[in-house]
Amino acid sequence: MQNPNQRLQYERAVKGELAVLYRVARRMGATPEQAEDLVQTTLVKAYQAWDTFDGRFLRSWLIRILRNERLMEVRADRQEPSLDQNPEIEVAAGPFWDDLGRKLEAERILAELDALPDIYKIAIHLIDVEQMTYEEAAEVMEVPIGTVRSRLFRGREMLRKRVLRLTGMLGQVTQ
Amino acid sequence: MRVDWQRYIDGVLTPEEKVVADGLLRSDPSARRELEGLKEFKRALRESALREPVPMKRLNQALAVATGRGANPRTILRPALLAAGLLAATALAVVFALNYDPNPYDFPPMKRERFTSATAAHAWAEKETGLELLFVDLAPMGRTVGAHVNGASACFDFDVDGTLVHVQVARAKFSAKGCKTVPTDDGNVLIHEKSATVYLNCGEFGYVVYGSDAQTGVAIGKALLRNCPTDGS
Repeated sequence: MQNPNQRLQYERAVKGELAVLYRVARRMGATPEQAEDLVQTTLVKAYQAWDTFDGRFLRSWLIRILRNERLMEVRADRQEPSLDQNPEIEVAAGPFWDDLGRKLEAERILAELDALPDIYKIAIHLIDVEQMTYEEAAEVMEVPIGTVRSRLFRGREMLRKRVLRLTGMLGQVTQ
Repeated sequence: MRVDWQRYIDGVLTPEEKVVADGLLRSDPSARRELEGLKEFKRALRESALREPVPMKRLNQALAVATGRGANPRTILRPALLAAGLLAATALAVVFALNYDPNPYDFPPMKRERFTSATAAHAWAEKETGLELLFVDLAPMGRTVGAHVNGASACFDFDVDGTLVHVQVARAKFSAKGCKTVPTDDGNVLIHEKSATVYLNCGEFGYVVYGSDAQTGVAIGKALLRNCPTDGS
């Protein structure tokens, strides 16, 4: 891709996604320095492949490149858990969110999110933080929308349980 | 029927589920509180994530690099590293100024000479160290430009295609830790996979080749081993 117009078009399109890419990289467990490097690698690869981008879901396309790069980095050290590896998910009944906002600091919520397995926290981050649609998130994670839905559901329940423990509300709700 | 308020906010309930949810919201104050609490939680989560600092300046540089317009930000010192580096440099300068002693432990001083002949460099190094050293000559790959000695360690300097390459000799035995082993007819050359430094053992001496690229380093190592008079393992 050497055409100056294409370069300009690429830069304009991607500029607004830089912060999103960085945040997603951080959520994937990258340190600030690693996240920066990961974004740069993503930008280089995306630029090289700009001709092949189909014009749909730019954010999803970029995050998918970033995610693949990150997975290559960590594959040797870690395995992504499958959905079946977390059998402890139970849906707690009763009011929960009611007065939670008053009990937790935002930073603690984020720390609890970061403690979740990658596949769940990424689903939550894409949809709840970056406000992507299920379809866009499915494009990123390269899974069907139904899988996004189940990861979200499970992830949110896990987050909910962690937050319950944090606030000491677990006994009140699950009894 | 239990309502998943998260999916309600996401707008992905089925029409039937939504009818039930809307009915609950109209009739049940606790359902309304639950929904409001969830919205508050999601807002707090989002705000917290968005509040994390993002190095926009450097990311913009990264974008310019990706399209071939700018300098690589990876080669520019990050502010935190720069600050740490300056602090360390200042601390070192203060310590150095307060405690400077040109030779506090009585190490023998380094002696350095320029040579154009490997034979002359070898003779000088043997005399200075008092050791019987392996003759090191990289011709025709590289030409001798100098040598330096420090106690019982000698280092021969060569110009290999315009690059200064050092071959250091000392009483040492190198192991393969952190290195890749390259077997040769005369023994093993060990190459450090990150630094491209080459190590080899010859008799009671260990040799280190540094300053070259990996391929040249291994070639030099092989040449040295060919000249090793004893078991070069």
